[in-house]
Amino acid sequence: MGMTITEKILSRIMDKPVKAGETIYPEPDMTIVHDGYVVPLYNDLQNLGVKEIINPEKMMFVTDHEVFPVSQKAADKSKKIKEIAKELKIGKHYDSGRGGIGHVAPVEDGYIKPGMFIKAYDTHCPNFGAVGALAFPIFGDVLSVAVKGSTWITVPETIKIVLAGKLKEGVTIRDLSQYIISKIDPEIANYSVIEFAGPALNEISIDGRMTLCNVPLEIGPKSIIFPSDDITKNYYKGEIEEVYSDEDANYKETFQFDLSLIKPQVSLPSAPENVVDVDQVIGKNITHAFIGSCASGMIDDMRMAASILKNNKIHSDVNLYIVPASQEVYSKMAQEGLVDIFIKADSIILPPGCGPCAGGKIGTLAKNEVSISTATRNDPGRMGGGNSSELYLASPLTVAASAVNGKITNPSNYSSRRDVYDL
Amino acid sequence: MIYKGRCWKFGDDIGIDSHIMPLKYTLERISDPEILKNHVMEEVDPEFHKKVKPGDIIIAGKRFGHGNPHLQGFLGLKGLGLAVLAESIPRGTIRIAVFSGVPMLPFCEDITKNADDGDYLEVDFLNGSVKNISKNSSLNYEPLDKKILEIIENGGMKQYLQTQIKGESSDS
Repeated sequence: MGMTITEKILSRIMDKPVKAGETIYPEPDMTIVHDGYVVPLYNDLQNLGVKEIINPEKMMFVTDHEVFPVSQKAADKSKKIKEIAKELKIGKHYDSGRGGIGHVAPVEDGYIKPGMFIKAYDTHCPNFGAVGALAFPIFGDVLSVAVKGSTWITVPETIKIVLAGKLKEGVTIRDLSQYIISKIDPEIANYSVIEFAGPALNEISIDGRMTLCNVPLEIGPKSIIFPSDDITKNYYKGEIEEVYSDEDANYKETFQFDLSLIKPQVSLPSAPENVVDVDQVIGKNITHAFIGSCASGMIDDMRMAASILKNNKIHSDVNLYIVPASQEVYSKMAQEGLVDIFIKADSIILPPGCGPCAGGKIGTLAKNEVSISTATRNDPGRMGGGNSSELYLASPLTVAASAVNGKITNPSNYSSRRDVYDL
Repeated sequence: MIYKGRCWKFGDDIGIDSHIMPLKYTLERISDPEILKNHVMEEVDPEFHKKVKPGDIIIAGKRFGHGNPHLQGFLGLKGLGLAVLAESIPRGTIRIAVFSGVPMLPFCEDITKNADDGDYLEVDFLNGSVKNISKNSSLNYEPLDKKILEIIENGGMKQYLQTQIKGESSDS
């Protein structure tokens, strides 16, 4: 029996063949902790009497949840994180203004390479699957990695998703991702790694792959990964460790999707997988909009948003927050003239990072407010506003078109300029 | 690791932030089980924490604890001394339950059809045997891997690491 990408990467780490179902203690090539957990991790280490962590050079801190301190508490925490990073001799600390979201910036900067195995505090770390790196969210078990060098993992089974066909005008990879999670039973996705395959992969950029490695996480897979191909090789401009499954690898299940059949999608409150065609919610008034997050804050997403916002103004009732996923994305936005488009459209550009998606500490919703965004999840209160807030999720095109109209809008019927963005 | 107690039965899709623990305690980053235990399931039943006793067992349907696997809900369950038997628990949630030291059997097919709210149960988490004393029936489910049970038996990840650190220093 052949091996899946997941089994191959974990076998390399364990230095022996491993199969789905085994519980193992693999040592990660890198461990990433976001700013919400650095201080609790440090306090736990203090309580255990641990002064030096194992392999600090392989640990990364990323300040992305609260990049821009807007309270005394946040400012004090930001200072404390810098001190902890120095004291524990952490290999890399992306402080505010340096990197951006911890699932995007380390890829852009070359820290993440195909074939690597990463553990991280955060749910959305499998973004790294876009370049063929296997990332597992481990939450508080980072403590175990810091103290023992590892934590337990049960090797997951793999499900394959085959993509074919071409997306229609006004339909994006984000729509495809939301469509996929409305069609796959969470019971099947749970405990699995999703591996993408099929002819359509040739036209999906690394940015689009990040979206596809991110949105489906909401129905419970352990991780998501793409095999290496020319797009991966071009991205790294050189030799990479190629990752792919064996032809006779064992898949728990295979799904196929025809991209040409998909329409713009909207997730209704209050679950990401609660997805309908946009036509079913057209006309719903919104006053808060946000384009960004680790799912859809990449340069491709910004180009899509700009294609709608160019020479347009957002509706006078709406506040639109634009949040680049990283400093690199922000820099490209400036170079390509997107910043000017967003400013002239009356939107607000926030510093690179998670933006409102990390608990609404910035760009917060009012009570009873209705929002449409490219956030990762839409639990009530995720972006502030408490239980009375209503959160809709959609593509950057749909969010931008809705922000202009002040109500949920099908971007296919809107004047978007295909030439400004390239899927 | 045997629990004997009353069954508290819930259906499918009990969410981690929506049902088990209000999201505000996660956003406030509260991690003391003694505080959190007073808010477990309060959006379902505000009196829940007063009704349960240590050793009681939550029986749930599919996807118990689904959603963003925040730790607070399970730290609250740990504070109350409860255990969980569910038809399924998402993987990220199993990890935080282990971290918190909450005993569980996460692969109990059809358990909700075999126990009623108020039944008296006896569960051995090491071998997966479940006795329903009230119905005079018994069932067997797949227990967690030994490497994982070891952490729960110690009371959670922090206590487990404490034990290991002590073990290392006494070895040397």
